[in-house]
Amino acid sequence: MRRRKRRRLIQEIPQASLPDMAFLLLIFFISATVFGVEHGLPLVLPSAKRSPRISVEPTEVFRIQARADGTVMAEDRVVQVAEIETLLRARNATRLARQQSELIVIVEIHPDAAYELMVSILDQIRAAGSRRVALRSLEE
Amino acid sequence: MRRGGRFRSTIRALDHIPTESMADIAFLLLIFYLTSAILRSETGLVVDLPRARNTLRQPREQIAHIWIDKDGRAMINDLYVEYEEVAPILAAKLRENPDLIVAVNTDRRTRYRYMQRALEELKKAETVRVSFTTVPIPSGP
Repeated sequence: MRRRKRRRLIQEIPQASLPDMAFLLLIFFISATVFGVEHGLPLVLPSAKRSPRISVEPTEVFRIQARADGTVMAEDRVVQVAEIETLLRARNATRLARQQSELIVIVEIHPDAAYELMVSILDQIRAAGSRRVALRSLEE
Repeated sequence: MRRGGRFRSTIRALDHIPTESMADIAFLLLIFYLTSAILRSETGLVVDLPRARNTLRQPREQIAHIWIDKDGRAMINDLYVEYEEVAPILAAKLRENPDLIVAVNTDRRTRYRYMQRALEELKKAETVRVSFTTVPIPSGP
């Protein structure tokens, strides 16, 4: 005598685990997603068409030079990169107290200097709050 | 209905948190993450970006990338390019979007001369907005 099967056929797709699966995928995507935020030091380049040439007085300029060997000079004396912010802030504060305009920072970089040095200098200039910056190449 | 001078509340308090819509919420969030996730980004060159503290966030949708590795090789749109080719490529991009920001992803060890050549090309293309891509240094306590 054969036993009768008691197993009943399920008529519908079980959906009880659907939220679990959705949450599992959700956690995966939350942890794996890269929203791609980019950081950078912005600079506005002069345009030949839009920017006319202007002449400035030497007293309005703060000159920074980056040499090929990595030494940095600010206003004709050797400085540490980390000092630039303080120096520039102090100079700008003095000018503002005399109701003079903000200094124009000219960064002169030797072609053989590392790019990292230029970024460090620009970082210091931004920290000092200066927005009038020009990049130049030091003569070899 | 008024009984004994007081109004009977007709709102019945639920004795459980409704979880029926949980799956819908989960799927909604899932769809959001699926659509907004960046599954393939530009590969570019392998560059060791310099670090900086005073960076700004750049709007990704307005950025065109240039990659310059430590040996001075330049890449745009996953293709190696000569420096002379940079200006025409960027000029075409700028015609499509005049507010374009050109992000220069340069290796920190690269000599400035290569950067200078790239900047000359950017000026030729009338690129005004440039961003030197950096790795942000988290501001400490």
